[in-house]
Amino acid sequence: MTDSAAERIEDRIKHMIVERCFLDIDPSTIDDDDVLIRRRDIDSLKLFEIVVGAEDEFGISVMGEEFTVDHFRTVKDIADCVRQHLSTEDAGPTPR
Amino acid sequence: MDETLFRFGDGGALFGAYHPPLHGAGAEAAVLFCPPFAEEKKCSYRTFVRAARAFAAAGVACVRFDYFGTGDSEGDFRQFSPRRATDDVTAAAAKARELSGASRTLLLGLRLGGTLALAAAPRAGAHRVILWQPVLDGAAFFNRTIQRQMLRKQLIGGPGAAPADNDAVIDLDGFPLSRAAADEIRSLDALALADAFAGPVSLLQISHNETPSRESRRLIDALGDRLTFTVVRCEPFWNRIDLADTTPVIERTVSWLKG
Repeated sequence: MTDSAAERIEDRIKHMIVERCFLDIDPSTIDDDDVLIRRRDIDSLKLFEIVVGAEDEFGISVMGEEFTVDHFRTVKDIADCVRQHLSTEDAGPTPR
Repeated sequence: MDETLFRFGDGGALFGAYHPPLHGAGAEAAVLFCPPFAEEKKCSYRTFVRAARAFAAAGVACVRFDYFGTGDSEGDFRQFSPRRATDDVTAAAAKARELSGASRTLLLGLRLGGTLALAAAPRAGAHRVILWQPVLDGAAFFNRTIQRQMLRKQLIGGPGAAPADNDAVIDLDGFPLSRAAADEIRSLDALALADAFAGPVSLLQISHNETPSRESRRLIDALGDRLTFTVVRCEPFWNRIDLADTTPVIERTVSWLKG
């Protein structure tokens, strides 16, 4: 994974979060390490929406023991989870 | 508001609310609201009331009701089952026709309520089914419900584990669902149910963007000319504790009913 591709995943996640959670903010104002629940008023229902959004956005399935809050606390956490799936599933990101 | 509360069904076990049309001599059609499941029903209650009042103001009679084991109807949530709920929809549709004098009944279902509306439509004598972001795949829906509960429990410091496979009753955020009902939910297939209903279906996709979702495309492909399809951008109000602005959903549906 190149740096530019890595950057793109984080940015796509930020756009997805803003869109799915109907946040009235510029996606670029979300830092990679922002704890979403504390900084962005994300409750458990919206966090779930973010997980589903990541699955749709990148064509992955988060299952079983992976389904923990620790994987989705920050944009960086979500991006790491996405990268892990994309590498193990040997499939590139699906187009928006 | 000119709403009438009533009981119906065997022994008056079911609870309903009738919203008569506010204008005109009588109703040509009556809309029966089929509520969603468990927590989603709680979150969408306000929208159902607002929609019923808007429809009545547009000259359309409406009935809201609670499935057996839910809301103000009798029974415990352990007694809720999709099969029983489908019977309840059929009974409520007959009651809607009786109260309104309407010859046509439209079933409007949100989420799992949409799936149950499709299941009941042939027996309920429905003229048309209106689906608000329906559940197409019962198994996927049930898994999502469990996953959402796991996340919530983890956020408040709990273990957040999935329920055991041998639990006779599954605790869904305080809603005690019987294992049999869970199995029934998992077996629901909206595409097969839509195939068994010969009438027209209107699908309202309620989502964060205006692109038809994978699920919507499946229904569009399956129903062809029988389906009317629209997307409205609106928060998933059935998943929101705070109030969401559902005006686009209600206005779009009113335009369907008037058209």
